[in-house]
Amino acid sequence: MKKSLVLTVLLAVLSSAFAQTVPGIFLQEGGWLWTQKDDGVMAAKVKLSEGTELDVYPESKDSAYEGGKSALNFVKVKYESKDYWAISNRLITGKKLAVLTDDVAVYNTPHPADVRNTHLDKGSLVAIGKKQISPVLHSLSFVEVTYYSTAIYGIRTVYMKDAGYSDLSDDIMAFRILSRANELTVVDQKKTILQSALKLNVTPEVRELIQEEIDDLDIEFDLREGGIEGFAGDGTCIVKTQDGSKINLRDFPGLGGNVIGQLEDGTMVIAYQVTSRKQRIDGIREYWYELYDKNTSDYLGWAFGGYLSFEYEDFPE
Amino acid sequence: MKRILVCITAAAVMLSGCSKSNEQPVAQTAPVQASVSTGSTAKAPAPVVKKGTIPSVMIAGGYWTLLSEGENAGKMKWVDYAVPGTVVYAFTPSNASSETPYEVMKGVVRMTDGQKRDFVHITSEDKDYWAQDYSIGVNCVPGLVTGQKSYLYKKPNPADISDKLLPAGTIIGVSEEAVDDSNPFASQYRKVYAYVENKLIEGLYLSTGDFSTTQSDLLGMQLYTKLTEKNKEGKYLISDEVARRELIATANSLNLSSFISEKISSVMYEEGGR
Repeated sequence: MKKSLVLTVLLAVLSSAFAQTVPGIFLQEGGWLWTQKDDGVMAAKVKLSEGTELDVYPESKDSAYEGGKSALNFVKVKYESKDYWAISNRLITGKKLAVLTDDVAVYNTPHPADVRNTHLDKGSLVAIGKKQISPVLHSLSFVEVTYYSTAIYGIRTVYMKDAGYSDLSDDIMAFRILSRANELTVVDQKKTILQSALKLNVTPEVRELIQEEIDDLDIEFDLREGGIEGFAGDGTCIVKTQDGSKINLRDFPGLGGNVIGQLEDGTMVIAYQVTSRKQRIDGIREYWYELYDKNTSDYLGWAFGGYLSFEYEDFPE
Repeated sequence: MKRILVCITAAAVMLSGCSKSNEQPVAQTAPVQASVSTGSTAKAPAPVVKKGTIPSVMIAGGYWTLLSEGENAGKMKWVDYAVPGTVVYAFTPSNASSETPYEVMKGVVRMTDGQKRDFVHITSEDKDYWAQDYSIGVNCVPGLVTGQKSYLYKKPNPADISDKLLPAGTIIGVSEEAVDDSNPFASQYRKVYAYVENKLIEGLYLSTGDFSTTQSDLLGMQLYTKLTEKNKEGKYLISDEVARRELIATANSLNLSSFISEKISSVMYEEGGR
């Protein structure tokens, strides 16, 4: 009896050691790892964030799952030293985790005209595969990119230009911190973790992004201190708000400026100067503009660019 | 003890074998090197003509796949649009002859509308597809109509001019078939394939002065077409700002002839004003 128990334990240890895993990347934000109950149905156990790295066993099965009507294909994975099951089309193996440092367009093939009518956002965590020179433009290199698509509820592999991403671990960590910071509501907390991201060995572009986020938190800041420039081209613009409300004019650019007037939605004005730095207000990152009356050229004040349109098609006939 | 060890080893081998017989279907590729996006480091692919295929050009339409399972088995399912001017390869059948030089399946039902159509078997980017016969120029290289008044000819002879014109900017398939050496004009005309205003143009010739096979001009036109294509409601098919920005950036990196660069500039001007 004792002998068979030892044998069983040894078998379990050995089978685990013999089942080889390969590194994988889980690509769905807020997706689950599952365990199988006694009745064979999968039960959700651990919620993962986009870009979580785990180990993937060469074992899969179709199974019913709690909350779902039809069976899905699950693959066995190891995460934080424990075994789970993950829905197969949520993860990929054999690729490198990377963070997008810019908004990038995606392509069906490595042909620069075969672009899809969508893009991946800066800060997204994706899996990067092989590089390939475009067969029609040898000066242009593409790279395979796999991401989780909410349109198909699964991963999709396409191409992007070989630019606008980083697979350096500190850059990835910095973007994870940025993402966490955006979930926080206490400004001091946000500032603290963003400043910790600046201590990482990040690339200059990523450092600049983090610094911008920190600057955005200081909403009382006079943006003139960050530099102002003359407006290039025709500065004619129109006040355009979502709900037809008025916008404030301030004596300096930034929410710390005193309100010195208001402009009705649809008012046409001229911008002569613009701040060098943007500010995020109501989720919109835009510059501030120094505005003048379209007819009299009288000084009006500074207004946030998120509620101004420079698009001709918005102008009245 | 020895018996236990043998037993354990055998069981471990069996377990290992079991897991392999149930290979997981997670997408896999070879591992890649770590890097920051630095631009081109991959090797330029050499053009390879696959054995048993004929280089061909997509002039319209897109790619289809032949369903082999389920209630729609034997029908063609739409996959995606092709960029006109894309080089693909038509399969040659094992019993290829001058009459059937490439593999065609006639009267296949389209899943989309139940209509029967003829399809050419092709491969593109190592994937197996079918293309409707009107959408492909077999044994062709891609070309671009550059002449402002490009008349088509019934035969490679100036006397055989037709009343049909190909608009400047049309992407065409230029036939690679051998020219008739006995015809003194043969080298001045090439057989072309085009799809204009929902009509296939085939078996007609174009003066070599009226088209270009320059890669950059062709690519410039493909980018311009992508930037300007609209749907039935008059909205751009590619409306995503990032996608449009990248199309323009690629076009700007090309050494284009004035014919194409003016077209691209007009789009850029429009984008700037929007």
